[in-house]
Amino acid sequence: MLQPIHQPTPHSRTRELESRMIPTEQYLVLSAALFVIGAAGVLIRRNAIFMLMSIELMLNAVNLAFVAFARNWGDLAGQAFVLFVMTVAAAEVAVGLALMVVLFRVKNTLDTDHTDLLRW
Amino acid sequence: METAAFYGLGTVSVVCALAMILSRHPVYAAIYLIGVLLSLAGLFVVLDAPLLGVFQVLVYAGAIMVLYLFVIMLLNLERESGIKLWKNWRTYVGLALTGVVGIMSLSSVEQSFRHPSAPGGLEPVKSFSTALFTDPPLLLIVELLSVLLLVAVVGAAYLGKKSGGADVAADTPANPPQQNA
Repeated sequence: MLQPIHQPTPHSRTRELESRMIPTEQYLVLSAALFVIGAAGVLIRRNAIFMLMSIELMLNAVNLAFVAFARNWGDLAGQAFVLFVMTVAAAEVAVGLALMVVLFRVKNTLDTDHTDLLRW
Repeated sequence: METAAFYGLGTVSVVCALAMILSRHPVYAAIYLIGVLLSLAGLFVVLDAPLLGVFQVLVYAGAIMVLYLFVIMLLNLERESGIKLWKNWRTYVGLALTGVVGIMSLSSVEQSFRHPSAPGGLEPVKSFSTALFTDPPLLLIVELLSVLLLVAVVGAAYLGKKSGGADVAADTPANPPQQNA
């Protein structure tokens, strides 16, 4: 679909460069670690602003996986999707922080345990 | 070179992420998150995506985190006190669920990826921009995201309006919006 980032190079040069490159699996492990830390933050913290920041961390972990795969397959669609994720994150932060300002104005706290207007 | 950058930046990002979710003060958490974002920007540059690294610094570490800090300062959030994180059963349920997520994501990391292609050839920034604005599916997504941003701006402005907040607070049927002097 898209042009590859890199032209194929002669075999010997490729082999020589590959030996110095970090394989994609290690980037994926780092990405999974960051995603898991973000998930832990969402699950164990009760403060809405910490939860929103942990969601940002999870989005960034996914971005790292996208970029690693983009290099792995030489396809620019992965990098394009990172840009889209950043845009969605910006929109999410704008609305989420506005909601938090309203929540703080109403309840005077950001603790999600005390936010039970719509809970039964 | 890439090895040193990967391990250095990876360690910084993981340590900053752990410090972020365990810190008590929101401002410190935001600063740790900026550390994560900057080290990820470095990793993007290492991964042949310099444009995304620049965007990461400008958009994320610049604009979005400033918005976070602005709201933290505006609400005057203090250090959380009286919260015993390690005496709450929910922490342990959360950690167990996190372990499940971690096992699932790590077990899906396969060992059979093609080796990365070597650098060289096309200019990354130029071909990236060309693809973004000429490839029909990507161009459609770009246009849809512009609508999304507009909706988000309108939504945030509406939520931030004083009368909009008062409506929610009173928990009554919508009052007619009051004209602010």
